[in-house]
Amino acid sequence: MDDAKATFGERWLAEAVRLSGARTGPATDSRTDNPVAEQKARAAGGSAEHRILVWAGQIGTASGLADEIVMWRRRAWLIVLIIAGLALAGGFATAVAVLGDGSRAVNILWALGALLGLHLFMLVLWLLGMLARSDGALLGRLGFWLATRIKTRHAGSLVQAFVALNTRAGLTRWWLSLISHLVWLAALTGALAGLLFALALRSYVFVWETTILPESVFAQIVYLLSVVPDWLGLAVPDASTIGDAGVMQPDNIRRAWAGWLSGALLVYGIAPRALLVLLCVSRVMWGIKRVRLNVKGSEWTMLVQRLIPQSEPAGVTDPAPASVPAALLRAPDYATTGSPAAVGFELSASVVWPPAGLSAESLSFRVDTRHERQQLLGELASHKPARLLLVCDATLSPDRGTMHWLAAAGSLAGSVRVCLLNTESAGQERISVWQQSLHDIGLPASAIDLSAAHALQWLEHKS
Amino acid sequence: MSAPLKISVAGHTNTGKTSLLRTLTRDARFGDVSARSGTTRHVEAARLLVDGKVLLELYDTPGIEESIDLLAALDDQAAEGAGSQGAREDGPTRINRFLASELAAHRFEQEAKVLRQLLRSDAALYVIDARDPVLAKHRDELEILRMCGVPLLPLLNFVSAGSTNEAAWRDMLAGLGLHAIVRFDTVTPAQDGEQLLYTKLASLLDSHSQTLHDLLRSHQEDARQRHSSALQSIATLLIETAALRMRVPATDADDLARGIARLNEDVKKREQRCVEQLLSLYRFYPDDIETAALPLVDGRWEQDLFDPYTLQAMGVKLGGGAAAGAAAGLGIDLMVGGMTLGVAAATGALLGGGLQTLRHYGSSLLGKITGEKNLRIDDTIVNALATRQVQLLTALEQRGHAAQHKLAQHSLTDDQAPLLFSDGQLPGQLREARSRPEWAQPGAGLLGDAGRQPAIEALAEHINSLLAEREK
Repeated sequence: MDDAKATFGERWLAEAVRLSGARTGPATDSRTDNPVAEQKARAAGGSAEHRILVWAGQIGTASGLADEIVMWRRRAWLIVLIIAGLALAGGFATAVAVLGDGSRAVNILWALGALLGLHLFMLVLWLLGMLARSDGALLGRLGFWLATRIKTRHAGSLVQAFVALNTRAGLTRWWLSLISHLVWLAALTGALAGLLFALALRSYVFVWETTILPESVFAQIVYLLSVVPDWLGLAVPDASTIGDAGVMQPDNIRRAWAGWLSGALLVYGIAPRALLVLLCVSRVMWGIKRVRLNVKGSEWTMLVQRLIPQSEPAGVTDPAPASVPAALLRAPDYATTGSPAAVGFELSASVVWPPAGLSAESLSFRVDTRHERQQLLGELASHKPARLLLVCDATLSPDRGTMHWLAAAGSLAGSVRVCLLNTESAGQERISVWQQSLHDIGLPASAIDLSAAHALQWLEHKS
Repeated sequence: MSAPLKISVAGHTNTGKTSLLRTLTRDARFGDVSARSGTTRHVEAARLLVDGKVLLELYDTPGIEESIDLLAALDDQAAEGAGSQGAREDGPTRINRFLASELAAHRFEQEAKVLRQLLRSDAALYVIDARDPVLAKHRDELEILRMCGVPLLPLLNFVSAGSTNEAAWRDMLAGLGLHAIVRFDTVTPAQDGEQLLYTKLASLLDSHSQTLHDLLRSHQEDARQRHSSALQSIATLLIETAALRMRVPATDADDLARGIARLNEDVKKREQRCVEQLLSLYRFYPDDIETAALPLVDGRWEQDLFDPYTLQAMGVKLGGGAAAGAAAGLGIDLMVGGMTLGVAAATGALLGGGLQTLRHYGSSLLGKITGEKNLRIDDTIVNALATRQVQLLTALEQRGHAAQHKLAQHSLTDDQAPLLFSDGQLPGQLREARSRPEWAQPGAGLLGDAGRQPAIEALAEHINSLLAEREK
């Protein structure tokens, strides 16, 4: 059901087109949405997703949404770049401020804490967030929040579409993390630059100060912090070489501690953030290739139904006949002196025939088959009844064949009436259809009886 | 694949041939349907597609109205033919000779259209109104149609009507050698009705049985898809309604009343949107006559959800809070924003959307201080809302596209349907939505929305299992 060649951008556009349509309010008749785009998508064939992408491409290009996505993307990266730039400058300034102007000795652990502390704290927070299947990428959220401030015509739909696609694929937190790590990488790189800048241009004495801790704690800390730099082959100074405040340090010792400080920043600051940026980039790149529209979801179902129709009308293949010759009642051209006759026409077997109130002098017939019909027409022609009562079942549909025969039979008698049975179960609608059909063959409404007793009275000439 | 399978739908006039096509194509706007006989006087086609490929062409034909006279005419022709050629002709030859004759162009023009179409088809469905008695004209009709030499599958329509002559029809058809018969009510088709129809057709058309099974499989897949989409729409409505809240100053009764009215209006709009989605999903259109068969008026629920009588009819008892506020269906939320710390912590919200969660607590606390109140929709209303939508869904799934009459049993006031969440307790997803006001609008919370979609899907799944349970 998917389209392997389509890009993330195309799917983003499709999602945005759908959302921007949804935002304008639900159309009462969604079939009129965009017939041209739908037509093109149907013609494109292929999978549901492929058709949706064609549909979205059509609408996106026409409405300018496609250009807007490109513009939005550019601006969003610009925002990230600006934040990163500010972070770089901030890191630089922080490093310079932490080292001071060289007038007083630098507490080496204090400086290290100031340079790495917040970063490590936020890193732990991020890690905890990721473990909780959420994200702790506060800077990412800030960056994202700023990106949502971008004002374009459909910005709301664009952002929503982006989030919807990525959330479904579990990518949102990786995007946010990516921004966070990028910004931190910039800040820490700035800090390293500031550190090197200050160390290059000023003279610092590195000390270790404490009020309550024993000397061995410092040695322990330095030892622990040096494990990783040591692996990487960076020079690690001896903890005992650190001096007390006010004591002159030889240059090589000061250089060694300056190197240790920069090394720690590199190893514990820049390196992990750089690795995490790489991780996030690869995770996002891997993920967005696998993002698919949720074509089976309720949000797409209606469009998919239209793009891959289950049925379509194919129009009239054989037009209706201009007119079908209608039957008509005619008055007989002979004197009708025969005794009255009652005819049960197409009555179901459950109807009792002849009816109870019919007197012996009246004739009664029951017709259904072709043979019976032809035979009875012959009999009526020779018998020439003065009055003819045609009894029909109102629940049946009056068809042309019925009307033809009723007209033929009625034309053989002096006066004719039609009595409809089962009027209650037939319903008013069906009865009026009967009345209309009988009217069409020339039978007046007064000659249609809905009551059998009344009709029999007429037949026996008692009314 | 070769050319699509061609199936004609034939039968006596006014037996529901066009209705059958409407139901099979799921298109309520196919052709023209009325109580008057001979509504369809032309041949109209519809195509059934799978993945954009036409598998089946259905032809709606005019009703046969003069079978007795037509068979007489055919017999006359045969007698003449036998006289001149001295041999018995087979059915299609006789039909073809009739179609070439003067009669086919005039008196029997309508019947000629049916026969012409039948000769071009791979099979025909003979639609029977099972309420009609078996008459000579029906026998003659079948006699004529059989002459065309295509497989004929009799289809008993309106079998759900109270009393039918089904047994008599089966006897008569068996007498003609037609033993494969399918029952298919176009108004309320049985769940497996379509399956039975196509399976029987496949057994008559051996060489096309793969096509018919493909069609069937695709239709079943689509039905599943529609069902799950519909449940998702309902779940979305419920999650959003449960998440809805409105802050009003509690001291002023007018403000309170206005807030309540605004909230009610909002919920009604959302409900209507959901109804429209469901209608559209099942291809019922608000302005169509078929939609009148649903418990709706002009595509809207007849009874106002917030009308106390509606709720009473649904067996909803309002909680004390709502009664005290004299606001039908609104619980006035005096707790701390209706939140429990447990819910928030359990979802990891404190870690992830930590800021947002804290803000909610903050705003609720602020409300405590400033004397503002959070209005939200009462549990029982959410329950009633769920019940109504699920009822509509059930009605939509049971109605064929040929339905033209409203069924009283679907009316809410007549039927004390049990509430969907029968123990009165909302499911976990809705309880969570209570503490997630940002879920009320899609995309409103953006990054805080991560849990919304899974919650909607879980709720849809839950409702589905409730429905399955109820069916048992």
